[in-house]
Amino acid sequence: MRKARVSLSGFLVVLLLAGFSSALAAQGKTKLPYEGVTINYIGYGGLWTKTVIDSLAEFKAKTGIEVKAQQLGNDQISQKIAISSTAHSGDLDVFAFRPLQETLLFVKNGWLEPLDGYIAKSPEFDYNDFMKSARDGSTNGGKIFGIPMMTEREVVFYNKELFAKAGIKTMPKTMDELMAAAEKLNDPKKGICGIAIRGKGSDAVTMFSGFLRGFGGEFNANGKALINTPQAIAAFKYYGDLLRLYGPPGVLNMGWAETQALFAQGRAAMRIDADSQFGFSIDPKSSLVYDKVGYFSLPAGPAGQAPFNVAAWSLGVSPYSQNKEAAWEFVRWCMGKEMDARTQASGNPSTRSSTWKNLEASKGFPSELISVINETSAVGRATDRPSLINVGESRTVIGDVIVAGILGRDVKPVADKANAAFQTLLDKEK
Amino acid sequence: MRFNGKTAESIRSAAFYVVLIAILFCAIFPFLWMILASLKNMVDLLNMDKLFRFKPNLGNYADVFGKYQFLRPLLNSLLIGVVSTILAMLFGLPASYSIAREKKTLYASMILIIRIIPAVSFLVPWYIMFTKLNLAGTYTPLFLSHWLIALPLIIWIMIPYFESIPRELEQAAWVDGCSRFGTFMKIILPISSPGILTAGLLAFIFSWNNFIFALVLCTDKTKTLPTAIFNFISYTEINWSGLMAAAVIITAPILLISICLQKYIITGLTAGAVKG
Repeated sequence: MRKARVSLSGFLVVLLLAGFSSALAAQGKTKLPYEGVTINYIGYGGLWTKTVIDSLAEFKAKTGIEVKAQQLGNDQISQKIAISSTAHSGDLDVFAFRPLQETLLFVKNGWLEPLDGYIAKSPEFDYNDFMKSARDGSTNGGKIFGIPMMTEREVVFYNKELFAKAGIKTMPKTMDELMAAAEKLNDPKKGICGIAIRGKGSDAVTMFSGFLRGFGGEFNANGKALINTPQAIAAFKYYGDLLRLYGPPGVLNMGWAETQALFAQGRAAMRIDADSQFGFSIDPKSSLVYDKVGYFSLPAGPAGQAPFNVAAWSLGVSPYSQNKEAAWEFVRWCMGKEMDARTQASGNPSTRSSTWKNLEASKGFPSELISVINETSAVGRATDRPSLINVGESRTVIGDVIVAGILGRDVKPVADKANAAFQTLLDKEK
Repeated sequence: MRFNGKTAESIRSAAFYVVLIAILFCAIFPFLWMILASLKNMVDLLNMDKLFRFKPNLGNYADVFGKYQFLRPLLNSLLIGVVSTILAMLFGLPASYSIAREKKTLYASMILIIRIIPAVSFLVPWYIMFTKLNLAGTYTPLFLSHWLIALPLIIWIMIPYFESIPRELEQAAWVDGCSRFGTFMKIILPISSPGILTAGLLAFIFSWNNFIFALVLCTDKTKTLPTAIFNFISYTEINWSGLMAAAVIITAPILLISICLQKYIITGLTAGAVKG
């Protein structure tokens, strides 16, 4: 008993001394501007998140702010933002959101803090350095609601070995050439398909946008649904034919992850999806074709080339945050030029023009891809989906027509029906 | 053609084993695939030719605990599951005993409502309450929410169980001078242990697997396994092999506990099934 008491008091003395010495140490340092402040961040998983999380200690050393970061799936992020914001809770300070999917809804509900004031106070942040199309996606009614984090473009990935075997030397430049190339490359006996693109209804809508506009169509404009115009019908037919004839078996169940796996296994000669996914197919750990991957830009339709070039994610600040200044400090740091170059170097396609000019930062990207990215950026469209508040439902409606096209059904009546449903969705928001 | 008795018998048993193996295969194959996949790297996992022939490595398991820091969520899930199950037992066992003995079926149906209402509808009010009480980010909201999942489950499993225990047993104890509470503690609970075990295990599994409450109410420190899984799904790629290793780790404890307690669980599950 006595022994225990002695060791306990010894322990207490040590504790006291430790506290004392750390207090002394703290006095020696200059106090950091946000000492002791903690902010919460939720966002998507990816190279950006990984690089930023790895650098958080640096941020803390600089500002004193501790960032608690949590990574979730797309829909789970939206769910958490919705619940936290509906509850006016201060436990979420900074979050990533999908501007094309959610800006309208979030702004309407008041879930995003306008950032104009903060940006004006931080000239070195150089807001105009962000690409215009990316800035526009997170701006509403002249106010800035988010800082774009990553861009992505619709590009074609191709398997160089299969192209050489099929004797294709020039890359397809038009939709007709793309169809011809897919036919030539298609080899179902060997389990190789000519082309793999998303075929799962609503998932496919974003990839379909490049085809729709290439044929001169549009999802909607001035409050009118436009998915049964002759141009749109031609696009639905083309997309459907391409995947029915030369696509992989089971394409109707495929999203980006499935086509990615097919391509990485050498079972798809071409694949169309977002360029931000390039890492998977050139990594020997995940891909059999890591040394055979090439890229070219989306071929032109009758109305020209129309791949998307969008900002997929933006960083927003919650209006209910108790530490808005600290939250902005975090945004300013991780989206600032220095960190942006670092996230780009890790493979995150940046939204800052200056970063793309920074050769050091672009080293993580294959040089062939960079030239395709530059080509695509020049002609790219700033959206890849219908623009309205209820994006989710409209994607389901449009997805049904895509599926009908792939199944080889008569597209026109399906498109007419979908157009009416889409119009109802648009009218509800008037 | 006619078979003699012996041939017919052996055909019958052969057919039995064929069917048995077919069913077993369907049941076990997903697990088998999960375990195989967790030992592969991504290239081999996606390659159908290498379904069974591949060079196994434990790198994914190292990643799960190293790179993806799964230990903390694992301990969190364990803590939350155990605490909420014990809490639910504490309230649920006496409740179901009184419902069973006093025939309070109205209360029983009211409790069932908790399970009928979609869990999402509790979430927003809870979230507001917990943030107003400054409990957000602590374990308390998770204990309480998982407690609510477990409570009706335990009550509804235990009601028929308690009903099946002959009243004479209690009456004998009363005659010998045991109090009502004493009877419950000393007579009823010990003989209901298979049922309690089953109910407890099921409650624990429900808490272990629960996603939606954990998603909304947890923070980085208190996050549970189902939410930690999202670290494997990134915006531009999915780490399937890591995901499978994590799935093995999540499934293993439940599987082990279930196998060890199998004997009791079967008695527990069937106890209330046939009542005279």
